[in-house]
Amino acid sequence: MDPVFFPANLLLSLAIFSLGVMGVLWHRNALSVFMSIELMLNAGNLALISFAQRFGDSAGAGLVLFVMTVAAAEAGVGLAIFIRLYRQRSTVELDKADELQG
Amino acid sequence: MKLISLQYAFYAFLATMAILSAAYVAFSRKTVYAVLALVVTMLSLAGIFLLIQSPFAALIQVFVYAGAILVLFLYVIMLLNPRQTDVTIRSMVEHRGPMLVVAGVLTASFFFLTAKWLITVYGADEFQFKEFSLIEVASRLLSDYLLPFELTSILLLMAIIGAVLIAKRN
Repeated sequence: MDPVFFPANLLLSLAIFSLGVMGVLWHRNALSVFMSIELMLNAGNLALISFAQRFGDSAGAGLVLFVMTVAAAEAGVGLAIFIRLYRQRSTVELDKADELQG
Repeated sequence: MKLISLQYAFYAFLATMAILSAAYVAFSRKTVYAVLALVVTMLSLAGIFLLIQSPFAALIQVFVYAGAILVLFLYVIMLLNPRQTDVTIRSMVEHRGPMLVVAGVLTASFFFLTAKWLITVYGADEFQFKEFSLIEVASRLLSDYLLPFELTSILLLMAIIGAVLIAKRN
C-alpha cells in the first residue's frame, strides 16, 4: 500500500469530523443532528482503521466493530425517543424540547 | 506505476464523494436527501477501507451502516415527516451546487497534496503501512476482547428492549 494514504486518510477523517461538528451546530432538527453525529462516528472509524493499518495492530480493526455496535444501539434508542417526542408535541425540533433547561 | 496512479485517482474520487456528501448531510435542510447523502458518505468510506486493504471494516460498514442504521433513519424520517425548518444562519450563496463540487474537489486535492508534502518532509517510512490479516483480527476479537465482544450483544439486546419500550404507545 502506498504510504500516502495514511496522512490522506487522517486529513479526510478530520474534514468529515469537522463537517459533522458543523452539522450538529447548524441544525435544529433532531434527525439532522443525529445524522451529523453519525458522520463524526464514521470519521472516528476511518482514523481508527488508518492507525490500525499503520501500526499493524489488529485491535484497532476490531474496535471498529464495537464503535458500529454502539452506533447501532444509539440509533435505535435515539430514533425511538424522537418518535416519542414527535407524538407528544408533533415536532422534532430541539429548541422546542427545553423543559430541562431550568 | 500505473496501478499506483489508478489507486490515487480512485482515492481522490472516493474522498471527493465523501466530503461532498458529508457537507450535504451537514448543511442540507431536506432530511430525506440528507439520509441518501449519508449513504453515499458511508459507501465512499467503505471504498476507502477496501483501498487501504481492510475488507472487514468495509463489509461491516456496508452491512451495518449503509444497510441497517440508515434504513432505520429513512423509516423514521418518512414516518415523522418533520417540517422543513429554518436554520439560524441562511446561506449567502445562491448557486450552492457547483460551488460545493468545486469546494469538494479542491479540499480533496488540498489534503492529497498536504499528505504528499508530509511524506516528503518526514519520509515515507514514517507512514508505511504494516499489514495484518483478517484472521488476526478475528482471533484477537475472540480472545483478548472476548468479554467486550460478548457485552455488545447484551448492549444490543438492551437497546432493542429500550427502543420498543420507549416507542410503543402506553
